[in-house]
Formats: sequence, structure tokens, C-alpha cells
Amino acid sequence: MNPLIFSMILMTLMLGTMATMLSSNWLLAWMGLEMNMLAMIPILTMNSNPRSTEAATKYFLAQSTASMLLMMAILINFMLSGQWTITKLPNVVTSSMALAALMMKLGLAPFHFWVPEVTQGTSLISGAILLTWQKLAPLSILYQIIPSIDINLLIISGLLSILVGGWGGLNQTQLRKILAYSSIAHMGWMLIIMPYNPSLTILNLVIYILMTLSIFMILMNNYSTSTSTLSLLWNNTPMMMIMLMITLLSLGGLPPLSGFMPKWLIIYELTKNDNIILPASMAMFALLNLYFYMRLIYSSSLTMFPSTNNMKMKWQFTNPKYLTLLSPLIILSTLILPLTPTLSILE
Amino acid sequence: MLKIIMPTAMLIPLTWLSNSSTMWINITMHGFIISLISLPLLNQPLDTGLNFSLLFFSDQLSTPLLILTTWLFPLMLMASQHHLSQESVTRKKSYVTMLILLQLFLIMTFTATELILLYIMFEATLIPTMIIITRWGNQSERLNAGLYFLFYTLLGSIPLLVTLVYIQNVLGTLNLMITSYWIQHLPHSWSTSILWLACMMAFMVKMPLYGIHLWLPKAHVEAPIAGSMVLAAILLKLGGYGMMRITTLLDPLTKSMAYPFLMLSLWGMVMTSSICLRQTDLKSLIAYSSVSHMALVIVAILIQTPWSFMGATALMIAHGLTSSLLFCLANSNYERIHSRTMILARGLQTLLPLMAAWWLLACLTNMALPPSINLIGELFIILTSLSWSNFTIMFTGLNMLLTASYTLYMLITTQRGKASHHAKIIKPSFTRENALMALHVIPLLLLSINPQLILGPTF
Amino acid sequence: MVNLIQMVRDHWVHILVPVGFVVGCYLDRRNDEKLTAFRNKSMLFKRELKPSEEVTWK
Repeated sequence: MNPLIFSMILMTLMLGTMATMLSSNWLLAWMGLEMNMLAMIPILTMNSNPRSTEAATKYFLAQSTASMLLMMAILINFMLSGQWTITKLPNVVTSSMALAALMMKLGLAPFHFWVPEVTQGTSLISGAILLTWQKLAPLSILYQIIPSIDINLLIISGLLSILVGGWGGLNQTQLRKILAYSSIAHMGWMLIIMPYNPSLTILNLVIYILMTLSIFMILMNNYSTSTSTLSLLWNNTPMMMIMLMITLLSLGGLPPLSGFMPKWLIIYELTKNDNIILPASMAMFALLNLYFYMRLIYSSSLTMFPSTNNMKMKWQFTNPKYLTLLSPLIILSTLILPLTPTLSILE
Repeated sequence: MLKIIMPTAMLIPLTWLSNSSTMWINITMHGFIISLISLPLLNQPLDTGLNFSLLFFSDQLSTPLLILTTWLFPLMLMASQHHLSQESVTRKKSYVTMLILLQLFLIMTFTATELILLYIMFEATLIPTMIIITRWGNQSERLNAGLYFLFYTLLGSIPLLVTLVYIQNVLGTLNLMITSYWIQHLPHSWSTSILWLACMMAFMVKMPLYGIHLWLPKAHVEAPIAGSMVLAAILLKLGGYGMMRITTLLDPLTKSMAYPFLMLSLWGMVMTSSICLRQTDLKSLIAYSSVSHMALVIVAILIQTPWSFMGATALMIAHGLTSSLLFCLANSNYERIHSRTMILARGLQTLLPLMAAWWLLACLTNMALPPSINLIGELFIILTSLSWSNFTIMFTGLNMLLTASYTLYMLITTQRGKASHHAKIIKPSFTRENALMALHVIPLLLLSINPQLILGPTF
Repeated sequence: MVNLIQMVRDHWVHILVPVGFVVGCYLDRRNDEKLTAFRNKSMLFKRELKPSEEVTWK
């Protein structure tokens, strides 16, 4: 892609998200979402092949349906209340409709089916953008309207997302699909904690973005998109293999890695609100995620996959990729659990 | 406590910066130095234990376990030298790094003041252990064993996390020093029963209780020698340690809630001992014998009398050293015969007489013969369970008998008989191995001179 | 002289664990001081200060 056009598209993507985040008017926020979505489509089709076109089409269909649903919620809300300010959603119909639309945008169960499909169809870098940056705008709207949303609906769909995110990934060998399912599961955690303590949602989002970005960057470094190519990582970059293992364990939320921090704080917050069964079952379902991360770890780092003889010397060739960002990302996504006590400012 | 944790952490740069030729000797030596540093902790002048900081403390319960941890680390290094000799230097060093990390986490688990820190470190020990089992195990079944190990423990401990957080919300603290003064009794209700279960289950899975012990033989059989040693000697004791710590919070409930688990472990110790009688696999036999001994510890902890706590602490230490010794012996056989099947290693007494002496000593301590500290532990536990209910003598007595039988079975199968042909070209036993066995046996025997050191806080 | 340098280069790693011990001891000591700084505030363990002595907390 032409660098000028590419940078313009990226700018539009960011502008859309910023517009959504900053505006207090429903129409402007909606417009930001649309800009964001339309800018995403050329990014999805960056290396154009039929599969990426299909992915972009699927993305477009799902997102525009969601946008229309959101527009309808906004209009009904305008009809009933006569104003465009975001925080007000007094009617149950409009709030549920808006929730459904935003859930579709975020890829939460039961509207999650597009996420693995779209992520699988695109390149790794657009997949990374799709699973990280694209969550910001819808989540910021949800953050603002959360008081008017029915909490039962939220909890049911959040729990369903965690379950589906764990369940769906069990049978996958494609890394992008696995990451998509892990994103669904993490979104479920964020959704459930949102009515209780929205700052924890942000914390979870930040840590999730750190972990997913570092995994995507490791994968980009050696172009692996499936478990079988990942299992050849050990003769290419052994250090990267160890880093991938630790980051995956962190993504699964094993203490003492930083992925445990949001889970711990969310469980803390939920038990504070007299929920005991809910956090216990959430944490149990999250073990499903850990299971398929473990499978990735097994094939990438804990076993040595047989390879042809010339591949063993692959480490001799320097990788042209320039990865300055990767090491701070990995450090942040694995080692910040001891910083948890400083988070008391979130209270 | 940092004066132990910091040198342990410095072992990692020591490993990576040492020459490949002097690596083993360097780390082993400094490992012994660290265990020497930790010895003064045995001096416990106060009943409340030594408060080092807001995070770490040690008392008569945690100190013996802590010293066992620091003592076993150099022994693990000595034991794994041979089976790592084919690996490249980087892999040796990463293996040792995993062991160091494990030791670091274990030290912090045993000295944690906060229950949540205890939980985090308890879980953190999973990662290095899992890596040791699945990366350096021998068969392909090790992958399965690693998954069993990880998920059994995690499934058990998630309710514990939720419960700990709940207790934190109710009490406002999880500090062990403060919660031990919490005298409000828990009422009997469904929810408090579930609270009891959630608190105990994590540790019972780790112990392991009969019925949820399936991960243990798998993990033991597949793990490399250092993994088996640390698993049998220390990781199982985490369960007992955690149970003894957390029962102070669950005070009157344990009396009634303990019945099914007492029955299960009494029954389980007989069952696992009987399983041992028909094992052909040496490591699996030792693993099942661990389950049976740990069942005694569970019984002792659940009875909750001062004597039973003494017995539990003593048996934990004794079993830690004994089972680790047995695994070392099994490994020295394995390195020569290349099989864990006992019948293939028969008649080794004629070939390796000194090793046969170590086998005899190990088996005698495993049977809890005087003057070993195993005797003290088992005697205390059997006495307390007898005074709790006379019927328990049926199980504990039968278990003593079975323990003696399977231990003798193991001894006779591996040592006596006619040596098979393939065994006649084996290497003689190394000084390293003899030193390793001696370093296990000496504390076992010396501690019986002054068992007060390992009798725990209720002495 | 050369031998000495060579020996230092070969065996300097042995300093790491003792350094860790010393640093650990220092940190422990500092922590103890922090914990005991307020002990004269407690009614139970209070003692009369000597005339020239200052309070341990600031």
C-alpha cells in the first residue's frame, strides 16, 4: 500500500476512535464509529487476496448491522427523551438495543461469530489492530451508558462470552483464531466488571492489549499463523520462544504474571458486591482458555518439533524486523503483578 | 527474610555467568551456603515466630519446611548432573534456572504473612514445576502429566482464591499474624460448609487426598529426577502447610466437616499401600507410597490436637527427606538399567553393594523404624488418631503392615535375587551419588537426636 | 600479578551470592528499623527516654 494512503487511513482510524471517545453527542459518537469501521476495511484488505476480501466483507456486514442497530437505539431515545446527550438512556428498549449493538461491535457472545472469521482472514498486523485498537471506541461508549443498562443481561452475556471464548478455542490450530477467542473471553471479563467498577475494565483492557500486542508481535517476527509453524520457533529464535511461553501463561492469567492482576482485582470487586458463584465460575471457565494456551506452549516450547536439517541453522540469518517495542511490551505484560498495591488509587 | 531470598535470586546470574565447566560446582556450593544461612532460623525464642517484615515471617512450622527447601536445592543439582550431561550448556543452565525460580517461590510461600501472597506463590510454583516436568521428562506421556498437574491444582485452588478474597472483605485482612487472633466462631450453615470446602480443597488436591491424587503418580513417573524430588519432598508439603495455616480460620467447622475426609484418607492410605504392593514400576511405587504417607498427615491435620500437629510436622519433614532419597535411589537405578521396571533391576546388591546399603537405610526409614524421625511422626499420628477414635487403629495398623510389606517388596525386588545379564556391564556408583544419599540420610538420623526442631509450633 | 587477574576473571562469580546476602541483610536491617521506629509510642513497650535521647520517630 502507498505509505501516504496508509498513513491517511491510520489517521482516519484514530480520528474515528477519538471522535467517539471525546464526543458527548450520540450522533458524533456514532459518526466516529462509522469512520473507524470504514477506515478499518482497507486495513483488513492490506494484502489483497480473496480471503481478506471475505474477511473485510464479513467485518463490514457485522459492523454496519451493529451501527444501524445503534442508530435506531439513538433515534428511539431521541424520540422519547428529545436529546442527544450520551449518558441518558432512560428506556429499557433503547438501552438493550444499544447494548446489543455495542456487543456486536466488541464481538461479545452471542454476537461473536464474526471475530474469529475476520481475524483469521487478515494479516497479523491488521489482526492485531482489530483485536486491540478496535475495542476502544465501542468500549468507551459502553463505559458512558453503563448505569442505564440491565445488569442481568450484562452478566449473562459476559459469562457466555467467557465460556464461548474458552470453548471455541479448544478445537483450533490457527493462531489468529485462538487469539480471537481469547479476545472474546477477555471481553467477557471486562463486560461483567463494568457495572461494578469501570476503572477495572480499563485496567483489564490495558493489560489485555499489552499481552495481545506482544503475542502478535512475536508471531509477526517469524510469520507464524498456525500451531505447526509456531512449533518451528525453537530453531529460529529460542529466546522468543521462551518469551512467547511466558506471555501466553500471562494471558491465561496464571500468577505471578501480570495477567493475574485484572482477574484477581475483578474477583475481589465482585465478591465485595456479594457475588461468590459468579467470579468462581468465571475463573473456572478461564481455565479453558489456559488449556489451549498450554497446547500452544507445548507445541512451541516444551517439545522439540522435528524439522528438516537446513532449518536448524535458521538462526544464522538475521531477521530484518526491527522490534524495539517488543521487549518493553513483554516486560509489561508479564512482570507488573507486584505493582498491584499501587492500584489502590482505583478504589 | 530477604537475606535468604536475595542470595537465592543471585543464584540465577551465578548460573548464567559461570563457566560451563564450573557451573555445577558453583551453584551447588552456593546452594549449600544458602541452606547454611537459613539454619539460624531454627532458633525460635518466641512463641509467635520471628517477624521479619510485613511480608515475611517464620515460625516453628515454616522454618523446618524452609530449611528442607534450601537443603534440597543443592541435592537436586547433585542428582540431576548425570541425566543432563548430554544436554547443551544453555539448556542445563535454563534447567537450573527453573530450579532456582522454584526455590525462590517456595521460600516465599513458606514465609508469607499474607494468605494472598501465600496463594500467589503457591500458584507460582506451578510454572517452573510444569516446565521441568514437560520439558525434561523422558516419555511423551509427560505432556499429559504436566496438564494433569497444572489443571488439578488450578481447579482446586480457584475456589480458594475466591474464598480468600471473600475473607479479606469480611475481616479486612488476610495477615496470618492477625487472623490467628480472630476468635469469632463460624456458624454451622451450608455456606460456611462450602467456605470450609473451598479453603481446604486446594490444599487437599496438593497433598493429595485419596481420590484426587491421580495427578501425582503421573507427574512423579514422568518428571526428571529433580522434578520428582522437589515434588515429593516439598510441593506435597505445601498442601499440609496450607491446611495447618488455614484451619485457624475455620475453627469449629473442622470438627464436623472433617469426617468424610478423615474416612477418605484412612481408607485411601490402605488402598494406596495395597496399590504399591502390585506395582512393577519403581517410581510409581514410590509415588503411591507418598500418597499413603500424606494420607496420615491429612488425618493428623484434620484431627487438630497439639500432638497431631506435632506428628504432622514431623512426618512432613521425615517424608520429605525419605521420599526424595528413594527417588534418588530409583534414579540411580534408572540411569544404569534405563528402565523403571523393578524386575529388570534385580540383584543389584551384588553389583553395587554400597548402594544396597543406602537402599536398606532408605527402606528402613520409609518403614518408620527407630531411630528415624519417620517413627516419631507416625507414632504421634497413630496415637492421636487412636485417641480420637479407636476404630482408626484398624486402618493405621493395617497401613503400617502394608507399608512394611511393600517397602520390603521394593527392597527385595531391586536388591536381592540373581542379577540379570544386561545389568552386568553397568557403571559403578559414583561418589556424587553416595554423597547425595548420605546427605539425605544424615539429617534423617541426626534430627532424631533433637526432634524438637521439627515438632512444630505446638510442641 | 597476571595470575591474580586471571583468578579474578575466573572466579569473580563467587561474589554474587555473598553480595546478595549482604544486600539482603542490609534491606532486612533497614526494614527492622522502619518497623521499630514507633515502638516507643506503644503503651506496653514504652520506656523512659534518657535525657539526651531523642524520639525515634520524626
